[in-house]
Amino acid sequence: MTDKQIIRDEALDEQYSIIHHKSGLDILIWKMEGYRTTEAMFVTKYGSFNNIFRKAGQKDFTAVPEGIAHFLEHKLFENEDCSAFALYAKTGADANAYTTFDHTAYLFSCSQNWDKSLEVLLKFVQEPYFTRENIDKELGIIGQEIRMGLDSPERRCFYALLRALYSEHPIKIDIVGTEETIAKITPELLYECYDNYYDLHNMFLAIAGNVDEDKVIELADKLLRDCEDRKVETYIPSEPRDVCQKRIELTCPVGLPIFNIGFKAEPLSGEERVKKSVAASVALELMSGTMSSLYKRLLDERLINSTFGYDIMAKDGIFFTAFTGESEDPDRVCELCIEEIERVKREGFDQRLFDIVRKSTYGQIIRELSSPERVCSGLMVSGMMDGVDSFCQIRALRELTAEQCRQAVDELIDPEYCAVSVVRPE
Amino acid sequence: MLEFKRERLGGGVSFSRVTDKKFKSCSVKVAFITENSYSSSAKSALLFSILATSNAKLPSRTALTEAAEELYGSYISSFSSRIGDYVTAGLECGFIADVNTIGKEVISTKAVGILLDCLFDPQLEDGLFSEEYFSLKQKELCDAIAAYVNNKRAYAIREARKLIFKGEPAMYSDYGSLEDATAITREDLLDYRRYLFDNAVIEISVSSDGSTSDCEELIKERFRPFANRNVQDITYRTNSPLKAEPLFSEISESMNQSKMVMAFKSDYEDIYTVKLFSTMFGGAPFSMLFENVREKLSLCYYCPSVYIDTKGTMLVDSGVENQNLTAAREEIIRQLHQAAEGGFTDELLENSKRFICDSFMSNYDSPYNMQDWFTAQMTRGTSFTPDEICDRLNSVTKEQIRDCAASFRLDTVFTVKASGEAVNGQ
Repeated sequence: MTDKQIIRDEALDEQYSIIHHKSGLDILIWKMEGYRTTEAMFVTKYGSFNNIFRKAGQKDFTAVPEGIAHFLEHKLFENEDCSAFALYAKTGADANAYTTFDHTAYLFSCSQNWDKSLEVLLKFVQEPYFTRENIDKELGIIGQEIRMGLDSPERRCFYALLRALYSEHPIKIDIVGTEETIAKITPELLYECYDNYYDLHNMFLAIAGNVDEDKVIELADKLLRDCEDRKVETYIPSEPRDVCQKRIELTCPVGLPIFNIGFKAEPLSGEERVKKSVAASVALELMSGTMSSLYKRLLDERLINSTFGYDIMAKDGIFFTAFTGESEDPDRVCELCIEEIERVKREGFDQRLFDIVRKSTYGQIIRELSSPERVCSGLMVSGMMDGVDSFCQIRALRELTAEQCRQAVDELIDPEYCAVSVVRPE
Repeated sequence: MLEFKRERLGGGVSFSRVTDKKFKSCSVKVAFITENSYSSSAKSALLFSILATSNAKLPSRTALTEAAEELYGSYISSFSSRIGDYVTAGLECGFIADVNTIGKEVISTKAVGILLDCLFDPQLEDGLFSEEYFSLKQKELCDAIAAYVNNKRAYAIREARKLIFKGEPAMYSDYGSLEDATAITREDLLDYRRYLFDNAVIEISVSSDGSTSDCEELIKERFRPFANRNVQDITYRTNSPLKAEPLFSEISESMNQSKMVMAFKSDYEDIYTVKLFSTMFGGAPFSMLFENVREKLSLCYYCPSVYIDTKGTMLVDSGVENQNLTAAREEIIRQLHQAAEGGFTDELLENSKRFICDSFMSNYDSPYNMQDWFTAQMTRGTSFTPDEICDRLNSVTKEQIRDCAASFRLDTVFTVKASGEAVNGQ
């Protein structure tokens, strides 16, 4: 039985639908009047985190090689007769796929024939074809991708921070794996991962822009296969509160030293994760954004340049914030950031600046609502979290107070749980 | 429904207006266009980055940022890039449409007012740009130039352009060299601003929901005195001359994956036929290079082609393992010869038409993309819409594509070879 939910935000006068399809798949549809573009993402909640798992009722967990989720994504683009690109070539869509820590997404963007492209998407993701021969061919291509990644100092600095912050959680594992780990991948392992995680109950489809809801349902009815809810369970080892290492330093060809200064926090889930992420984001903007006294001081001391910024990563079992950028003296940057965090904890935030940042963030959300790509990404983020809709972020922003931002600093940006990664020139 | 209007205000100043009621945000760009030279790109980048920091009414970076952010996250930023032999640099401003603010506030004229004040009433100290902002932005520019090496792919293309366009203004990079950037003085910069105001072609463009007529009047009023200037129109297209013999050049860097940039030149007249050919050759995930060089032969990780219409030059840049450099180069050339002999299917050509048209049509959904679209049209002396270009592309024949491919000659092969002192993953 397929049923439908309308999710609406009165103040924005925007809405989208969630279709709970009888196959087990949730379909999130946001029709944008007057737009020509259609953005679609077929997502499985399966990424590099999900390396050790078991099916419901199974006693033992199975461990699979690091990088297998990303490898599977590459291989799924190839069915028995041709590649998915060849199928999309007949519709004109621009198609792609990516793998992250906690999900894999297959996407397309098009301004014509969206229904034909959706047919391609729904079909090929449900038709795995893995052989020893096509795995061997892919080893070479992914090996090149791995080596190319090693040439990116920003990427190496980011992964060094993850290894410094987390001692147990699989976030520290590189999404693409290593040449050694992917060499262990077999067709049987790929099918096992596919069967467990590419279960429609563990997946969702997000579509935004020029789309017709009835046509989507018609295609879903025709193309989605009923499948058993496997209720796969991923093993995530328990992560200590402390950081793993206070500092990791690497060298490679870079213009200036690159730094990531991370603050590990207790993980959050559901709506609380969204609310606290919004509070942390506004707090970080107030502390280190271009209007802040910290930013001015770092600029005055010639410690940062235009690359300076901040990040938040909030996923299952993970929550950390980070300051990132380039500097001749990353240690001094770290010292001043921590000084500012301590000041905010004591004094809180200036109400006038808080009001400006909140208004500015509202403007940013409005801008995003005019981009089918951004709207579809927003649907994807909400699809990843049970009980969280796409308007949760703007509701959290409307209700946010300066005091909640100060509390977010207290709770989530604690210098005691700080780790630093630096990539210096050779 | 999209509308476009372009008018000449006189004295080398033109005003373009793109409107579509569905746009929720607006963009205003003022571009100063002059011929590129060894020092103009560095001066342009530095000048406008300083102008974006403050103005006489908002004399500090913090004051300007706060004023803009308060307007629902409006921004004033600088840009500097090349169009063939010319450098286009200036200021842009983005804001949400008034109707989307809480309480329907009028923010558009305020945001545009800040932009105009930055251009016309800069913050000066003793008749010069502030020492503080000058040294800050000069350091940022130098840092950005030093960081060229961080992105190996972009670095290879930048170095290759010096050889491909040797002796032509297009050889100079977006930001100039470190020597150029450090040699600039505050006096130079003020002189350069005067020079641009007196001599540059000025392109103003507004992209909005149609509610910005007051802003447009403000802008026109400030530029009225420019009508008396004597500024010649620019011919943007100057095809780069083909070298008597192809140039092969190689440098070595400590990295894991080599980069190879190949330049092919042609005087083929119709740029849209060339764009279609380039899409079929290496610009799509089903193109000849992707299918053969990457997928079938696994000779590189990426090898797209891109056509620089203002220079009549097609670049193929690739990430290649050292042992595959010769084979990849030969195969790319072989694929070009095959295209020149008509060795491609009608289906591939039709798929390429669909792909490029789909991509062009998706521009309609973004005020920023449509602004860029009509800027590109301006450089060609035309004002075609994406629909009109797609109609043209759909009538291109196989014979025209074959002739187009046959007109390309190899000009330069530049390689940044991985030295073998590769870094590992840790």
